[in-house]
Amino acid sequence: MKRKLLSILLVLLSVLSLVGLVGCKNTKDEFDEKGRLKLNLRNLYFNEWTGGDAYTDFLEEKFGVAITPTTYSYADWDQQVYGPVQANNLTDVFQFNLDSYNFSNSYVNWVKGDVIKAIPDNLDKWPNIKATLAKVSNIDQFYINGKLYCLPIIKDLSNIDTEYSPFTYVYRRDWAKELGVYKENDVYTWAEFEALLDSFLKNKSMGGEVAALGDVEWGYPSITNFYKTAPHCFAIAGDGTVVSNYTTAEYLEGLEKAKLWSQTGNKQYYGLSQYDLNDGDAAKKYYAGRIGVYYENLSLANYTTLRKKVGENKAIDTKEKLDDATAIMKVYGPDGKYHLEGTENWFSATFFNEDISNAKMEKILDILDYLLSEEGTMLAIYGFEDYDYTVDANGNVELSEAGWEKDLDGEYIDKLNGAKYLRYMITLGNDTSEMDPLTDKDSLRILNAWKAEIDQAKEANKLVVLKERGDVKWLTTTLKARDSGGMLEDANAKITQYCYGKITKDAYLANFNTKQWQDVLKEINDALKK
Amino acid sequence: MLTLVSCNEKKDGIVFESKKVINDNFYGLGVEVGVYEDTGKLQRGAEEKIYNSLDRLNPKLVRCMTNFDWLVKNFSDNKTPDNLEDDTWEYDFTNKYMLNAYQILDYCETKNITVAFGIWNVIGNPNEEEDIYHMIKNVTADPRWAVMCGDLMEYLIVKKGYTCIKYFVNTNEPDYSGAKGSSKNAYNTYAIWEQGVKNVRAQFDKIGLTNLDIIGGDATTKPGIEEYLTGVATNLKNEVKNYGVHLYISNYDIDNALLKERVADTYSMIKKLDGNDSKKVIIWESGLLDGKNVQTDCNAYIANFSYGIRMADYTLQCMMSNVSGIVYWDLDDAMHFMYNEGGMTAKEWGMFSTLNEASAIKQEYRPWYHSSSLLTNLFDRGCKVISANTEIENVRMIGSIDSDGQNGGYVVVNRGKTDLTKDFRMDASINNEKLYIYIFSENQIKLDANGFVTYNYCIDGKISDYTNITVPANSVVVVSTRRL
Repeated sequence: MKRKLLSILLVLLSVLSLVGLVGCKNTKDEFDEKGRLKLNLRNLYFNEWTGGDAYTDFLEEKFGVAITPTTYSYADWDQQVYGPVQANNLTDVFQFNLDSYNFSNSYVNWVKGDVIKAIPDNLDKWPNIKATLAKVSNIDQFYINGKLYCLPIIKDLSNIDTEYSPFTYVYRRDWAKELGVYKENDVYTWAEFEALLDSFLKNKSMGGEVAALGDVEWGYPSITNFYKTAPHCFAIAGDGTVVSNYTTAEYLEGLEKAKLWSQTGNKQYYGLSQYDLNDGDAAKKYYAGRIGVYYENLSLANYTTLRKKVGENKAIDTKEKLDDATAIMKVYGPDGKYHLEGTENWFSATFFNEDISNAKMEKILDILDYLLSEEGTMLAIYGFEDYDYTVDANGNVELSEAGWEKDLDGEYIDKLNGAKYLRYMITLGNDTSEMDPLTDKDSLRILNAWKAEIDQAKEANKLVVLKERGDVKWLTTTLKARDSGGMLEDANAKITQYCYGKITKDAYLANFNTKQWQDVLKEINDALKK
Repeated sequence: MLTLVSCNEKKDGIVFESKKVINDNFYGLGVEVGVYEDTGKLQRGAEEKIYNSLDRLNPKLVRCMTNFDWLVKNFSDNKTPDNLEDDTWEYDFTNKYMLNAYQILDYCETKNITVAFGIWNVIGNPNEEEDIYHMIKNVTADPRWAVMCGDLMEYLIVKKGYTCIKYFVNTNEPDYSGAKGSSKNAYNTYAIWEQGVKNVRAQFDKIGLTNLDIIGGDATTKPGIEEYLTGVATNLKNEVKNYGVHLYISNYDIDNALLKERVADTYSMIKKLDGNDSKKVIIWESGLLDGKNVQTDCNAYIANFSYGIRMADYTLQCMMSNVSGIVYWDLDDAMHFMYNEGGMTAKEWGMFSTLNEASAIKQEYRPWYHSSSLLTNLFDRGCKVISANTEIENVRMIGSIDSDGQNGGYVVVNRGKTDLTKDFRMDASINNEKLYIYIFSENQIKLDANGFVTYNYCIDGKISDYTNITVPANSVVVVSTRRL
């Protein structure tokens, strides 16, 4: 239940899109009045950035291009990719959330249908891109007939080996201290975790107004993470066969716990009706002090937002209070280990429209390679040397007053820097958080400390990373490609319905023994035997 | 220290030369005063503050936008929404948005302010499944759009008598298409917009609004500005008598005077295509890119003094490149909102905020309100814009002579790191007795009892005589024969 997936309709759309590809024609390069090659680039992170800033101007001059950026809305991202694919009016570059559920159904079909253009075999001309691609986890999966057709967008070039996600608990340490259930360094055994939830439930619920535990909508019920053996649909049974994750003994144990803890159960730690929360509701309740322990994707951006929102509460008027109200909790599961979901070191990918010329593709690769270079990175983070910043003899960066003014709260004011946006086409730039003047350094410090402790736990064999086996995750078979996204969404719905007593255990189990599940599992197991 | 000296020419003196005319009929500076989207959110006394503020600002141009969604009624009752000839809808000219529009227009009419009135977007829901009007795909080329525009403008100009409306805005920033499903501009292209302009022009002419000009562009992105201005210059020679753009600029471009070059390049492109110089360029939205939060559409820089200095610099650079009018974005944070799942949040770009929920500091006049007030007051409608006899690195200078020749003044923006002390004069035969000198800098700005900017010094003397003036580093100095 970690992210929104394709609806069946979208899957169908992508299949249908192949029909529309027959008439593809190579488009001619276009140039602006200055003779610069026009580029149409589309990326989720462009937001409302429309170009025209000095930094984009610099890149346009440097590379002889004229850039028109456009973006997607996150809620409608998939559709906004499938639509232009179907209509054969893709931008020169586009971005797609290429996870395992739409890997084969989109990526493989786009390759077959000549929708996307292969990256050049020889990347010697773009050494920074070449070096980055060499670090991409599971990069082999992207090669089809020896060709790579996308640039996976790397998350953090400085932490390339991180294999777990920061999906975990943030909590009200101040409440825990007040109630005498706080544990040093925010480390809790399973029993201590339950004791804390008990205490929050008894002392903070205010007649049901405040929940002891709450999950971000896609994360419910998070406590199954401490029991299950696989993150999503498919688990591996003792005999090595692939089975439904949702009917394994381990998952069912976690599920029963979730049911017990949910609003209709006996313990009711989940004091909110997770059943009918809309996206963003749980977060808002945590900001408002209506959840004691909150499960969320604590990316730097999310955690910074969370701290900012919690800090808007008038009662939280010092940094210490804010730290106590947004502490990250470390919970050992019943097995005495931390449990975190695995992750790739990239998120989504950049694709090139098959119709663009080689010259245009090379131009775009030139820009991306530059933006990965030290000079390009400095441009993207700080701006222009000698205007926005200077570097002293020891290599220390000093920000200029003209380039980096502060607002009335003493925080640096954001610059609209096109280089930063364009760099998102090849990396999310988490590696530059430390140097970025706009990073909330307190949030970063807390997250880095958490990460260091999790890494230590990993060394001590006290960390379970929930990962789908690579040969299953990236397997491309017809039914898996077609159905697994919908099966996951359906499973999420059934899990929630069961936890809230809307369906019986038999009905729940029956959902994972349908012909669709049987056929998909058989197909996967047959394929793996080959 | 200020000293008056004789008018004998000095070797290093700076002379604003009445024969070095950049623009002999400047339209003036102004501000966007859009129809307030929720007057229920305004603080008590907001109305008084808004109009007092406008009095002091004294804009010569106002851009005012509204929405057909607020105005058109019974459109959904069309049994045949695909019938583009159908014109059976009705208008609600008495709703709160229109009442607010009348208030703004009453003010502009009384004050003889030139108004560009327009419609943000076409009517309908950008989500295709919920769009019962079927105007989203054809955008302004939909023939019903021209009829609606004609009806509205006829009502405002003929029936209500708002002769101050001189321009019509054929949708806001048509080049910014946005995403299909969430943007009403998603299907727009230049060709569609051009057809829309032709339709609207024909409708205006049909109902006798022949003097109502249509903004020639209103584009905002760099490629969009190029495309729309090119199109207007080549394909809309008869339908449109002006060029209009939105221009948001990086600090770097202003600090390094690149804006001046950029505007000059654009002007030269237009002149080349157009073949004559009769159509003027007006910037209908102006502001700084840096500080813009793309998610909230707020700008953190507006609270800083530097925003005022840079916007003054922006203004001078554009005027030096022959732009004929500039409208600042915008007057009041309380006018426009960002709508998302979390509700509505104010777009903070204003010179102040009259929102009830705004913090005390946001309700105060921001520095750039004061710097803008000096410029809007100095550059009178129809004034002659003249340049100085010399150029100084990191300094922008421009002079102005009122259309009646009785008054004038000049502005010096010093973006250098050191003070500039020079003898200044204007060679015009203005028979003034006093000179009012205003210094806009963080340390030297002077406000009166009402909180409005006032002069630092008033000295006896003629503008045609040299006056020794120190322009502090990173400041704006305005010298005028009139009290501004």
